[in-house]
Amino acid sequence: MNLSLFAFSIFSTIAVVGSLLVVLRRNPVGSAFALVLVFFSFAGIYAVMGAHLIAALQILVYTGAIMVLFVFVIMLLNQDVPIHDLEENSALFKGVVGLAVLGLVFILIKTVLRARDLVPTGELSDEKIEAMGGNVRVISESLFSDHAFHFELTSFLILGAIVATVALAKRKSALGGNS
Amino acid sequence: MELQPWMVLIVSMIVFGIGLLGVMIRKNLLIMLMCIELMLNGVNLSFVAFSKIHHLIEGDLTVLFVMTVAAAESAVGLGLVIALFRTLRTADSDQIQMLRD
Amino acid sequence: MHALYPIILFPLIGFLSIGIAHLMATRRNLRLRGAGVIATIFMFLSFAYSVFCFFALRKTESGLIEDKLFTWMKLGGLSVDFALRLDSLSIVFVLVITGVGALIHLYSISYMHDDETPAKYFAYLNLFCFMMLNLVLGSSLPHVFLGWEGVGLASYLLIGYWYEDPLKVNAGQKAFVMNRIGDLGFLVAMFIAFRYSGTLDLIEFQKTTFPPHILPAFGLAVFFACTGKSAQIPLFTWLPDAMAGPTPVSALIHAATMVTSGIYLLTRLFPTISSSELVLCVIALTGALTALLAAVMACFQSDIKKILAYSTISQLGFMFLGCGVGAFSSGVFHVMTHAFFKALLFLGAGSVIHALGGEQDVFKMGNLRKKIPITFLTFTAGWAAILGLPPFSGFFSKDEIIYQALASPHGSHLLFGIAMVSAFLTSFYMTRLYVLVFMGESRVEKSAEPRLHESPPGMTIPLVILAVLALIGGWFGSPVHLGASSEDGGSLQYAVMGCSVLLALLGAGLAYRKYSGRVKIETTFDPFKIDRFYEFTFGKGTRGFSEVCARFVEEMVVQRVLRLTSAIVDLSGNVLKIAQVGSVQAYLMMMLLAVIAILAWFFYGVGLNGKL
Repeated sequence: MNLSLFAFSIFSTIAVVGSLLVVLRRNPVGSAFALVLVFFSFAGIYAVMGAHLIAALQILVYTGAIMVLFVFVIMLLNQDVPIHDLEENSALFKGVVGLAVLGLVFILIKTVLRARDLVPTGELSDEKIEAMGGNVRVISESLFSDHAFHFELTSFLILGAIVATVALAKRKSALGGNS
Repeated sequence: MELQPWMVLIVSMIVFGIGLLGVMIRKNLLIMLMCIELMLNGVNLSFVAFSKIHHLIEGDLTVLFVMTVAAAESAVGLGLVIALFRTLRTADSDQIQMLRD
Repeated sequence: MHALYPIILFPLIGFLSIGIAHLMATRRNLRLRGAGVIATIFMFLSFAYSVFCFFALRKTESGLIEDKLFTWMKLGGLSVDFALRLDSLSIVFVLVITGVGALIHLYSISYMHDDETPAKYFAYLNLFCFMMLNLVLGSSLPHVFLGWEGVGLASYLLIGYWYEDPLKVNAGQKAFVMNRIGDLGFLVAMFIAFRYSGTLDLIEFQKTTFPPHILPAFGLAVFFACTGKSAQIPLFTWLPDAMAGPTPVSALIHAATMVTSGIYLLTRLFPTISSSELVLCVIALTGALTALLAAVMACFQSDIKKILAYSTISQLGFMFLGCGVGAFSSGVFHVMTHAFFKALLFLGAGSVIHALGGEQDVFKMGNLRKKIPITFLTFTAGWAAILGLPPFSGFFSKDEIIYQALASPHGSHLLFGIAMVSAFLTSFYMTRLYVLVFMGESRVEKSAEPRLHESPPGMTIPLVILAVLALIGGWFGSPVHLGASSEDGGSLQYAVMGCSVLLALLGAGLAYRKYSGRVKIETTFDPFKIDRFYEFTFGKGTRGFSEVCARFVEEMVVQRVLRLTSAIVDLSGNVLKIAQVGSVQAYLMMMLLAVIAILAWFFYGVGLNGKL
């Protein structure tokens, strides 16, 4: 049991527990905070695996931006009260869904176990990445040269999202009548 | 024993499954959106794991783009929730039935 | 290479400029009197250039001048150029079109001086000349077809020129529609040519050998197109109706040029056409029968222009007869001489009509020879030419055809006989016309008498020029110009010549006896009633069929199909609607189950190396 495996097990346990909390809490604010916990532990897992850039971005983007937005909206819509929607669903429904999801995960895990024998197809082993200057440098170089076009496309995506959000969130009178 | 990528994959599947469960069971729109974020994260984790398995960095790059998309999508989704809230005064998905037959 | 495009450029510029001027002038209600002069000048320029090209052609060794203007179409395997080609065949036509055309333009200036919209008229005339020149100068089948359709269009526009009269408009439509029916043959011929040779260039595609069962099909398709354009059986009934247009139009289009396009086409395609005996037979027989039929019908007409119209149909029949027995050069020679004397006759008729203030019934004319002497003299020249009296031009060309009908290897006694009878009848009805108009007692209505006057020089000068041509036109001797061998068949030829002259004089004499002196007024009589036959079969037939379709087919079939389609759409919509429950979670549930099913199918169905 080395350090990385130990750290990984801690982080992953927190992640799983946190995600269960997200689903099962009655108060949306509680769910939001549980989600933040999940994100942090995910960042830890990424760091342990050596994907340093992703770890950093996870914190920056997900917890720093998206969750802030979520909490904003929860407060804006006064949803920070306990909600009892979980009890409203019929037990049958919950049972069927639970079984289905369980089945799906079961199939997926069975498949994943085959990944134990996979042979690597690429060349960038951990040592090589270290030699090339680290995870951040490798990803950045690849992003801005081979995948520069995709990068530019995401800017379009974000632009579209901005326009859409502004249009949606505006007060009706500003839009001039029926939406 | 060392950390193996397939262990990471298993965790990612579990988180994904829990997120899926949450989306289907809960009715509050905001919580549903949060569970969708959980699913996306699970998928992100599996991408990173695969790029470790195959010694590539395309997996990491994909995660980058998925994050971008997730951010954009949650922004738009929340905007929708707000717009819906104005009409319905509620964030319960069962109340959205105006187009129903 | 020598440039040919000015020949077609002048009339084109004329059409465009006069046409645009007309469109601008109608707004302000101006009458553009100068239009006629401009149009005529353009035509004379074109004629002058054509003469220049004639001499240039004689200097070449290949006997061919080509002027490629641009690449017209490039579609897959087909490449068509917009190019003009001049050889000994097309130069004859070009000179006739520009020369006679220019004279008719000149004549029109005086004839149409009362008209409200002279610019429109002359624009159309120039358009016609442009199209006709494209027809004879085109280097590929589509180019010829462009001209072919174009002259049909111009003909329609000019026949229905006085569009306020629905009868005239109908006549224009009839001409155009019948032409179009014939054009189907042209299109089929183009398809066949392309299919078997890969090109539509006139010289190139005739180099390929067509399979033996296709060759007659091609020839017959081409000839069918010719029957439409050149008014042969069965598509000839439009030509008498086309007399509704102004007389110079009848002279130019329906006597001298457009109707001769069929002869041009046949001669241009002569290597391919003449390799099929069947096709030549059909052409010769149709030509001969048309000549006879039209000649008979001409004997019963009382409108001066209609007599000349049937005469044109008959003479065209002679030309096709010539082609059909293999004497293509004689056919073309007759085209040239016929252009001279028929245009002369038509313009002369126009002069008579003008003198009488619009009268066209020959039984209301008579003894006009003293009143309109120049018209009378020139008309006499035309009459002598069409009768085939030496030394007028018609004698040389018509006799050549009649002789070939007998002597050529494709000829026969039957064809010779029909030709002779038709020649006799030609002489009869033309003399009938001549005598009724210019001789005997005057049957002119009293109201028209004071205004009887000779036509102005603008009209008489072309008449004189054409009369001279009708006299000397035959002396050029076609074989020299068309490159065919001139044979002197010796005694048989002289015998035929003598016979035909005798028959002509006999016919003339009979007509003179009957129609000079006291004359019984005749009304127009239609002995074969072909128009009515067509109306009955095709007209009523189509209308009846449409009725059946509208009542029966439409309701029973079409409506049912439509209703069935919409019912299917309705039903499927209603069925699919069941899945739209409105609950997001239900949708997610469906998606999840579907995903599980797909994954399970992948893993268990396809089988990933055993273990699962």
